[in-house]
Amino acid sequence: MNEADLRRELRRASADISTHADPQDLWESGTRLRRRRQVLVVGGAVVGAAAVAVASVAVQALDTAAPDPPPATTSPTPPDDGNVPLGTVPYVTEGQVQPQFDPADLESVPWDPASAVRSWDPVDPVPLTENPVAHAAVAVQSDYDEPDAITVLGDDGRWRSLDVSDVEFSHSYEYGLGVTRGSLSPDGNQLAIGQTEGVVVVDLTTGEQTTYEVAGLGPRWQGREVFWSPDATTVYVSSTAATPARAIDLTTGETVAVPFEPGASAFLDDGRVVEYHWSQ
Amino acid sequence: MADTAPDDFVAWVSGAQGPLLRSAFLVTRSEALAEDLVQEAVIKVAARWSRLRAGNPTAYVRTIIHRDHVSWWRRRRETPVADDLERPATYDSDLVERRLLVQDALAQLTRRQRAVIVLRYFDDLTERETAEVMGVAVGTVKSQASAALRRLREHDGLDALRGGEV
Repeated sequence: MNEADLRRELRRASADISTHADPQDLWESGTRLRRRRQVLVVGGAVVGAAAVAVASVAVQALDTAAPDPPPATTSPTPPDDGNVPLGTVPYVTEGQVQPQFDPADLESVPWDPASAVRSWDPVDPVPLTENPVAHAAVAVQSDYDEPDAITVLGDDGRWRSLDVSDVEFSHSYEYGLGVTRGSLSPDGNQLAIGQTEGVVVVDLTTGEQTTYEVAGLGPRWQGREVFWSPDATTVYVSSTAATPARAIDLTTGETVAVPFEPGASAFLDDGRVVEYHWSQ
Repeated sequence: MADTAPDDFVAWVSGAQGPLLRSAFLVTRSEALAEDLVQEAVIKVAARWSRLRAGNPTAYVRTIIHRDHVSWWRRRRETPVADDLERPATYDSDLVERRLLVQDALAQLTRRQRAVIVLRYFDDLTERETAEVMGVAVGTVKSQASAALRRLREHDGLDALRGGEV
């Protein structure tokens, strides 16, 4: 069989496949998707940190950054139903894990009044390098498919557009390369963005950016979500099917593998990490 | 009030949807999955039609379909086997026989090889365009196509279709 035969047979083999999808129905679904994306991106940026804390109905604490972590301030009675594996590590209760991030007051954020939905269309953004923020309250990638279109809302109520140079942000059609729920540092001073070659960290108070290379990520689109340590000195990168989760020490640039999934963890001030585990 | 689809979107969907569906069917070997992938991808195109309408929405949608299929395949963690083929109720026409024969041959390929073959020889994309859709290097397309063609040539049934004769 030559290539011409192959082309012909592929056409014949699929000739009776047809569709009856209505373009109008598809259009309306697309309109709903567009509105949902606008809200979701912002929701992830603001509510993400709180969600991590909520998710940390802790069942196991891992001794990670701190070599000798202090014990929990209280000694709760472990559940006796046998369903929660406690191991020998310190036990942490939900009440001991508090959000380290103070989410912005959503009602005070300047909305675009012309928007049909409550989308986060930034109003009159100015370039970040011309007018850096003291602290950012919100980071928004307002168009899912344009990873360069990133804006941050300063605590002065004004929007800034990210105008970093020498970095061409790429993205994924799923899972999001770009601003994800953990991108904004807890102090609102830095933005971390997972990319194919590593993580780009932008200092929002100066506009300066640094790329921390992470080996093994490559052009795949899975993973690469980023999360911050409470002291904003470490960025964690989520695992992929081929690579473990990693921690990037921003002071040294060193990257090490970590034995937990950052997206399912809460990071305590004392260096311990509380990871959410589940089993069927 | 429902948002009315613009004329150019309706025209694009009407023209592109059929070929996209047939291409997806050849790659996935499932009409139902192909239809799901195409519809989801077209909805994503609709969501950003204002930016895509002046460009090449078909190229964009092919990339989405391919990546969504890879994601689906990884989630399912299933090794494709010939028994998965959706077989029509009757087998009495040449068309059905050919379809089954070609599907059986495609089922012998890896998922990536099948995608390369369909994109190159059904969608008539260049090697570079195929590489862009799949997010791989052009060299990977070349090597995958070569291996896939070699395997197809070794398929006993396909050899009988040479020259259009069953």
